[in-house]
Amino acid sequence: MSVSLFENMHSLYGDGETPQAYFTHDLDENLRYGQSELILTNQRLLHMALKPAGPAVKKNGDGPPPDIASRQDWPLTGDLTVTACAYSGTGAIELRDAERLLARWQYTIARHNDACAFVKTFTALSAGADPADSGNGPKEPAEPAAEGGFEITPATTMQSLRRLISFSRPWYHLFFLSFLLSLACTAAGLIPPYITMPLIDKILIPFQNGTPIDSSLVIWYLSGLAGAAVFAWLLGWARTFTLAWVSERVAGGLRDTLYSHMHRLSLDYFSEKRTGDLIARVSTDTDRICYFLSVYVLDFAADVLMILMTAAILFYINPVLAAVTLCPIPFVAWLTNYYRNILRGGFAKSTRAWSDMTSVLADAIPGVRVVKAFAQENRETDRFKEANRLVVRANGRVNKVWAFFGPMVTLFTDFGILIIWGFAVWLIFKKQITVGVLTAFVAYISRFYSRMESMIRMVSAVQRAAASTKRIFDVIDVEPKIVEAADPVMPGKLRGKIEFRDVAFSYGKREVVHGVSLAIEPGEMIGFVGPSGSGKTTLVNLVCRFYDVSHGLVLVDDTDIRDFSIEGFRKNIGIVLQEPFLFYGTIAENIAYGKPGATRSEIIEAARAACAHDFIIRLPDGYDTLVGERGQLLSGGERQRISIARAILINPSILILDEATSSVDVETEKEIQQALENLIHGRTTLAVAHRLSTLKQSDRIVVLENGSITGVGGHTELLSINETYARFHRTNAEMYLSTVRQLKEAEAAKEREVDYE
Amino acid sequence: MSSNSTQITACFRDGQGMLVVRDAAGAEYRDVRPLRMFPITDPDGFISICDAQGRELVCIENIDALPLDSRELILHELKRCTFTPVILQITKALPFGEYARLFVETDRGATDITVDTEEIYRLSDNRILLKDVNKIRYLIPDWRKMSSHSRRILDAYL
Repeated sequence: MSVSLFENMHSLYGDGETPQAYFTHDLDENLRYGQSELILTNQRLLHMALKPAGPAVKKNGDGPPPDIASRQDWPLTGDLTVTACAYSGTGAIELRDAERLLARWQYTIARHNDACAFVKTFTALSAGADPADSGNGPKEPAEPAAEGGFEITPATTMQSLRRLISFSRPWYHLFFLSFLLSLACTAAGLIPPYITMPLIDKILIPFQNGTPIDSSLVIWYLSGLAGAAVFAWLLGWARTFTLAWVSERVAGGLRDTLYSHMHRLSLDYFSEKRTGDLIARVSTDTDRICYFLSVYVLDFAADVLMILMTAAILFYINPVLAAVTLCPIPFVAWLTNYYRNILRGGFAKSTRAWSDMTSVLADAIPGVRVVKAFAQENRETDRFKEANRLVVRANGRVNKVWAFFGPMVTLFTDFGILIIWGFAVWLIFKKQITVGVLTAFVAYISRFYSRMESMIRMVSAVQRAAASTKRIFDVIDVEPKIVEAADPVMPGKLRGKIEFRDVAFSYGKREVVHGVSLAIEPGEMIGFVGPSGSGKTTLVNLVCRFYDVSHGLVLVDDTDIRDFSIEGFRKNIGIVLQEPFLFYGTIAENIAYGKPGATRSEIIEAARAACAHDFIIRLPDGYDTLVGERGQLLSGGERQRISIARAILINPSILILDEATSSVDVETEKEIQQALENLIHGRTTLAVAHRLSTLKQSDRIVVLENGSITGVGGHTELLSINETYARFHRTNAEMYLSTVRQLKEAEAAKEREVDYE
Repeated sequence: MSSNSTQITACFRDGQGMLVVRDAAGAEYRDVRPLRMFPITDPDGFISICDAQGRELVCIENIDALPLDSRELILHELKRCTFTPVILQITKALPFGEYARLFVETDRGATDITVDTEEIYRLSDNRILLKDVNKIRYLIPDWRKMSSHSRRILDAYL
């Protein structure tokens, strides 16, 4: 929403002139920061450059009129056009008449949505439509464009924590129970100093003055002390256990919600995020919340209670001494907090240095072959040494403050107690309090100070927990782009008829595919060829419904695929990718991944069809061989045949081969060719390929260029009419020929060797 | 690849404001965009002239070989398309959560930016790159040259 400086400045406008839209652009022609205003009225387009007044320009119309450095206007005639285009970091609104560029106004990309809205209003207005009717009134620029500016809503610490609390709702009663236990436990902990008071005043001091000991009273007091200790212990145990139990469940629930939500998100979310970051959100962040709930919340509640109760008891015993005792506490709390802040910055720095060092390791160790091959061991060692030096330096700083901080707290405590001693001794001299009261005060206040540090630690713990909560809810708040229809059709077993009807798809601002129409009969094999970036993979992704079309329809068996139940629909799709992905588990489990209930004979049958059976049974553990991470090493061709078996097993109606043979060599391709032929047989197949050999069974070949179809037909037909295809074929043929030549040369060389022998 | 070795002789703007380059053979390419190949280490050497689809038409190894006005136009256009303000000083920082709002003085005037604190990169020992939430990049060529106040603010995020 653009708020204009000129909203209320009627002196600017002529008779019958009303402002329709505003746009504030924040860069001048030399791309320096500076506010300028673009105003669209029903009669003209007005531009006003403002004198630089620093970033804090007053933002309401009531203030003094802004200094206008220059103004220009253009009457609205039919031939004016306005466009907004985005570059990296900046955008520009350009004004043109029929033949010339009249003006260009630049802004930072954050304002692109506003700019687009402005252009929309302009276009509507100059087309003769009354913008107020079309819903683009002046105060309400058109609905924001789908992408562009990034609005960030700073979720405050409290907001984050409130969501965490609402997430803990099912366990409210348990939190309440542990709160009660906390209360009782703290109260129990406060009994002993209170008992010591009469023990000293009524027994020990009279005894020193010659009064005999009343042993029954002594036993009574001592057992009171013991009882309080045991009671506090039991309650403490119950409290810790309850809270730990419930916080583990809150964190566990968060983890489950988070992970299952991640799986509902569409592919593009994952392509934008770093894997490590997502893993950290599920593991580290939830764990941090668990720790926060079980340790910090508990400690904090206990501490606050203790402080309140102690203060109450102290005032009850002696208000004057209590006031003096509690006097230095705010000061001590402030000082402690001050040092903790310094310390916290230091800890954050040291964590960052540490993670930098780890990333050097994570970089160099997996790449050790490259390092050795290029003889760069010294360079890598130096890189590590540098990162390590930063770690040592950062930790050194922390240690310096840390070493100072611990004794500092002790010193504060000692001073605090010293004040009590001083004042209490004076009161005792004046016979206003007894020695017992002094002992009780000292005992209470030592506990007080010892908890101070942990209470202050709470401040940063809350911030950390809030940050973690935010990171978790950031993921949970992402709406899946692919949504199940309200009343989904269960597809059952599809026949495999596919139709693209005027399909367009945009990825962000970039239109990847447009105007694609194509009908594919059941059982037909279609090969997609074209330069990279031409939209081949996008088309097959649309069929899988990894993305939804932005325009047009994808129909399978004459039904819009968005009407199908997602799960039921995908059960009809088999996919073989360029990089076969094997999960950690046995070969049998990997083959049965898409159909977990498959019988052993089904698995073997699928492996046979995929030509994988023979190599699998030669492995020492056969079908029970562990593959995936840290499992048995398989060659690229072997892995690919396992993934083909996986696709065969679910017996899909629609088969997607996405460059299934691109990453393997010619020899391996031959190996898996038979497997692929078995797989393709009788299914609608969409094959994306760089190699012509993969496509030789295709019924039709589709040539894609720049996101649209430029040719459809059989091999020979296309060869004669489609230039791109002909070029593609030539390159392939050349490659093939050179391979054949190399093979022949190699054979000849071998023969010569034999001759020499 | 042959087209990449052609020399361009002139660069100008047509009436519509589109950038046009002319090569030695007299062929003209309309609506072109210059791109820096080494935006940080050698910003004014090696400039690629691409068409609207991003395919390279010509590569300029040495921009000084061009006539003065063409050269200035290209440099101006480069500056416009690659908006990377240089941060001179940081006056204030307001952290919230993972983000921080920084009030900065740049070579393009004063502004305030919101950055993800995880997107502050130490490129080499003294050069720092920041990315704000709109993915606009800001460069600090040498943090040691900033005032001690700026350094203290920045230090919290490094």
